[in-house]
Amino acid sequence: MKIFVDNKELEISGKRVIIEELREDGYDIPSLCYTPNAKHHTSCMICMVRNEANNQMIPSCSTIPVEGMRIDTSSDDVMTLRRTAIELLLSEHKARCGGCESKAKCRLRDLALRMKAKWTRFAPLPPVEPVVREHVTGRLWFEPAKCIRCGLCVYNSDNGFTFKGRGFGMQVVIPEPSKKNIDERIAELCPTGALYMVS
Amino acid sequence: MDNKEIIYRKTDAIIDRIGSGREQIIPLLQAIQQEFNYLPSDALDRLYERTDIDRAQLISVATFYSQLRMVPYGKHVIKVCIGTACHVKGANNVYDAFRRELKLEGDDITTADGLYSIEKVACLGCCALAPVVQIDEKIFGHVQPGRVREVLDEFEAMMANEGELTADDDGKAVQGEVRLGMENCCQASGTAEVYAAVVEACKDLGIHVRIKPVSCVGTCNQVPLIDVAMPDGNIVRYPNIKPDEVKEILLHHFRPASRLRRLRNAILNQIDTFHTDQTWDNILFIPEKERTQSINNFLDGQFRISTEGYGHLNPLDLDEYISMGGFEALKKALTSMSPQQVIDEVLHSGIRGRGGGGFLTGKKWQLVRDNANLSPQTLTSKPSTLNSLPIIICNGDEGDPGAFMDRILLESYPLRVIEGMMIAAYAVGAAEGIFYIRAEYPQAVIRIRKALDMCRQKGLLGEHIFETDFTFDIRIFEGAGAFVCGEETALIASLEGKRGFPHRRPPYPAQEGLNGRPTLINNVETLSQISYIIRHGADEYAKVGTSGSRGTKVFALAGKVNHGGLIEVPMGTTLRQIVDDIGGGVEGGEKLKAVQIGGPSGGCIPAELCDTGVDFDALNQMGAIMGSGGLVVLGESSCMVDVARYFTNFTCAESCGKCTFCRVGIRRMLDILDRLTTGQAKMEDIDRLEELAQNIKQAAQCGLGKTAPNPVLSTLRYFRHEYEEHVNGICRTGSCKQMVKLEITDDCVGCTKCARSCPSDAIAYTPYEKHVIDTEKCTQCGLCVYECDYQAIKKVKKS
Repeated sequence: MKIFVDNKELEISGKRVIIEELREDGYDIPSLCYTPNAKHHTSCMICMVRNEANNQMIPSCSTIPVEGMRIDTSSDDVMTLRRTAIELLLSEHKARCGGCESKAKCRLRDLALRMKAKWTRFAPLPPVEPVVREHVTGRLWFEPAKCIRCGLCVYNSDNGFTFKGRGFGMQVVIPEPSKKNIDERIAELCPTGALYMVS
Repeated sequence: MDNKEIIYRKTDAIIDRIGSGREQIIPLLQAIQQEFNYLPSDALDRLYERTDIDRAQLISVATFYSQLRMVPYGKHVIKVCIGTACHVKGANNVYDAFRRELKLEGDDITTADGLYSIEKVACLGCCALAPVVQIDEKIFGHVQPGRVREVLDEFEAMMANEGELTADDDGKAVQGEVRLGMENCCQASGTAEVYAAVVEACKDLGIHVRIKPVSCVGTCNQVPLIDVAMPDGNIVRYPNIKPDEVKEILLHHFRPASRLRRLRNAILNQIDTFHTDQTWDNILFIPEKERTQSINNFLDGQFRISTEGYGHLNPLDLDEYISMGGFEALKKALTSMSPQQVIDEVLHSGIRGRGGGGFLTGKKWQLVRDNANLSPQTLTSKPSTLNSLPIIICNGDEGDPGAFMDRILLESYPLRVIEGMMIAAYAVGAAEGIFYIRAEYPQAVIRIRKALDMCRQKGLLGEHIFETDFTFDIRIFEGAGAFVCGEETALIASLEGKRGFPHRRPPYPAQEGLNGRPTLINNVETLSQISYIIRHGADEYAKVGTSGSRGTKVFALAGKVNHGGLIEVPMGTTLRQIVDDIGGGVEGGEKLKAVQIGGPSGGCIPAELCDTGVDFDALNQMGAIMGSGGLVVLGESSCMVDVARYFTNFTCAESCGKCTFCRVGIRRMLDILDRLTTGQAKMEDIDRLEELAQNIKQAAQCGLGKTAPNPVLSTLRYFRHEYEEHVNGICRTGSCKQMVKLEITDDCVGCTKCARSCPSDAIAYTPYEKHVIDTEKCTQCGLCVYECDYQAIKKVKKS
C-alpha cells in the first residue's frame, strides 16, 4: 500500500495501525497509552497525526491506513496540539517531579521536556502533599495521583485493575481481593510513575 | 433467616429470571436496585458467586452509570430537573429551596428520618412545565422556590389516595366522548384531577360519555385540555380547565338521560349561577374563538407525520390504529415490495436521521444490508455465521437536556414507532430488535411494553407476520443513565455489559456492531416517519420540507416562550415563525435574544439570524446543529455566558473519560467559564477559551467531545461582547449570582414582607422603614423579589 507522510511517498504493508508502520520506517511518533504487544484503547491522543483529506486529527495507534492516504506528522498544527495534549495531562497529574522515584522511567516527563510543555498552562502546580501509595503485590506499588488514565493496566490485567467513575473524576482502582491477580511486571506498561516496582 | 440470607435469596431469584452472562450485568443491577433501593454489597457478592461477572467488571459498570447507586436512598426520591429549560427558569433555586425545607445540611442528600432523598437529574423531559420536580413516579410542574412545601404536601396527599384511573363502563348508550391527554406532563398539570372530575360528574349528572385517553396535542401550557367530541362529529375544545369547571361543560353538551335528573340539575345550576363568585369567569361564557385562539395559532403552522392522530388517537388502541391506516405500510412492504425496494424508497425520500447526526437513513440501511451479505430478495442471512445476523436497535436514549420529543413519540405513538422499526428490520434482514429506552422515562417503557404485547397477541410480532416468511420480535433494554450512551458505539458497549466507552469508527456499527453483527441504529423519530413514506410513497414525503432536509421535524419548544410544547413542522419553517407564530412570542414581552438549538452539541442562533429555516445544512453553517430537536428560547434576561457554562458543565459531567481532550479539555473550559461567571476572569481567558474549544473540536474522539465546544464557540461568535462585559465585572442580566447583589430601592414602604419571607434571615425586620439586605447572608434565592408588591428589590452590580 502506498501512502504519503509529510509529503513523502511511503510503501507500507497496510495491515497494521499507522503508528506501527511509521515507527518501523524510522518516524518518531510518541505515545503514552500505546505500547507494542499490549492491549490498548485510544486514550491519550499523543500519537495523533493529521489526515490531510479532511483535516481531522486521528490517533495513529488505532487507525488502519487506506490507499493513498496523506498524513501530516510534523507540522506546527500537529506539534501544537500534541503539546496541548501533554499540558492537559500534566494538569491532571497531581504530583511534582522533584522527589519522584520514577523520574527515570516516566514517559510523560520525558515527552513534556522534549516538547517543551508548559507545566502550569491549565492548572497550578500540585501542592507538595505526602505521597499516597498503595502496595499491590510483590514489589509493585501504586500511586493514584500520578495516573493519567491511559488504561494500560486495566486492559492488561484480568479481574485486576479497573476504572471507577467516569469523566474528569475517573480513577483507576485495584480492589483488595483482586490484588492476587496482578503480575508485578505490569509496572513496565505504566507510562508514568503511578505503577512502579521498588528495587 | 437473617438479612444476608434474604438478600441472597432475592438476588438468586433475580439471577434465575434474567441470566448469568456478563452482558446481563446492567439488567441484573437494575433489578437488584429495584428490589433493595440500592446495590447492597451482599447482593454483589452473590453475583460474583453465581454469575460470570467479576469484580473488575462490576466496579467499572456500577460506577459509570448514574442510575446505579451503592448507598441506600430514602423511601422517596425527589428529582429536581436541571435540564436547559428548567435551568433557565431557576431550577437551582428550587433545589436549594427543597434542601432548606427538608433541613439538609452540607453534602447530605437523605433526610434524617430516611423519608426523602434528593438529587439533581439531567432532564425529565417535561420542559414546557419548567421548573420540574419528580417525586417517585409523580411529576410536578411550574415549581417555584416558595412553593416547595406545597409540593411535598401534595405528594403526601397523593400517596394517601392511590387509586386506579378507570371509568366504569356500564354498557349504556354513549352520548359522546370526552378526550384528554394523559401523558406524564399532562398529569403534572392536574389532568388526573380533571379525569376524576369527569368520572364523578358523569355519575352525578346521569350522563353517559366515553372517556378516552388520547395522544399528546403538544400544547403543554394549556393543559388540562379536553376535547368534547359529539356524535355529529363536532369537536369543542376547552384548554386550561379546572376540575370544578367539568360539570358545567358536560352539562352544556350532554343532557342527562332521566327527566328528573334534568330538572334537578337545572335548579341546582340556577342556584350556582347566581350564588357563586365564578359566574363571570365561567369558561362557557368565553366565546370559543377567544378560548382557543392561541391553541389554533399553535397548531396551524404544523404538519403531522410522526404525530399524526394527535389529540384523537388512543396511544394503546391497536384496533383504532389499524382502522386509521396503521400497519398498512408494513403490510404493503411485506406483501408487495422486496427488502431492497423498501430501502430504495426510503433512500429516495431523502429522509435524514433525526437523532442529531442527519445521516441519510436509506444509506445506513443499505450499509447494514450489504454487510449482512444478503441478496436483494433474501429475508434474513443464513445462520452460518452468527456474526452476520443483522439486528436493529431503536435509540430512545434521548439525553439532551431540554428535549422530550422521543419521550412523547414513545408514549403517545408507540405503535407507529414499532411499525417503522419492523419495516426497517424487513429491509435490512433483521429478525431481532431492541428498544433502548433511557431509565428516566419509565412511562415510555411501560407503554412500549404494553404495545409490544398487544402486537404479539395479534400476530403482528413473531413468526409469519402477515402470513409471509418475515419473523421478528423486539425486546426492551433500559438505559442506566449516561448521556454518552446515545452515541452508537457507546450504546452498543452498554448492551454488551461494558461501561459506555465509545470506540473508533471505522468499523461502523452497520459493519460490526453489537457482538460484531451488522447493527442498524435509528432514532425514535426517524422510525416514526417510515410508515408515512411507505404508505404514501417517497415522492409524497419529499414534497414536504427543503431539498436538503426532507420531511418534518418534531421540536420541543421550551424556555422563555409563551406557548411552549411539542410541535411538528415542515423542514424549512423559520425559527422566527416557530417562536412568534406558533410559540406566541417571548415570555414577559421580552425581546428575543437567541434560540438555543441542538442541546449540548448545538449552538445559539441570535435573533437577527432567526429568519433562517430549520434545515440541517443551513444550521451547520451558522455554527449550530439541528440536534435531536430541543429548542430553548432565550430572552434579554438570559445570560449567554451562563448558557455556555451550563452546557459545558453538562458535557463535563457526562464525558466518558476515555480521551484526553474531552475528559480534561472540557473540564479546563469549565474552569475558565467558572472564572468568567464569577467575575474573576481576565481578557486573555476569552482567547484561551476559544483556542481550547477549537482544539477539543479537532482532537476529541467521539461526537460528545467533538461537539461539546459548540455552545462555547457559537456564543463567542455572536455574543463576544457579553464575555468581555463579564471580564469587566458586569453581568447585565443578573444571572451570574456572584457578580450581582440584591438591593432594596427607595420604593420600599417598609411592609416587612421580604424580611418575613427570607429563609436566610438576611433582611432585618424594620416596619415602616426602608429594609436593607445583608449581602453576606443573601443566597439570591429570589423569594423576596417574588413577595414584594412594590417592585422595590433589584439586582445591581456587586462592586
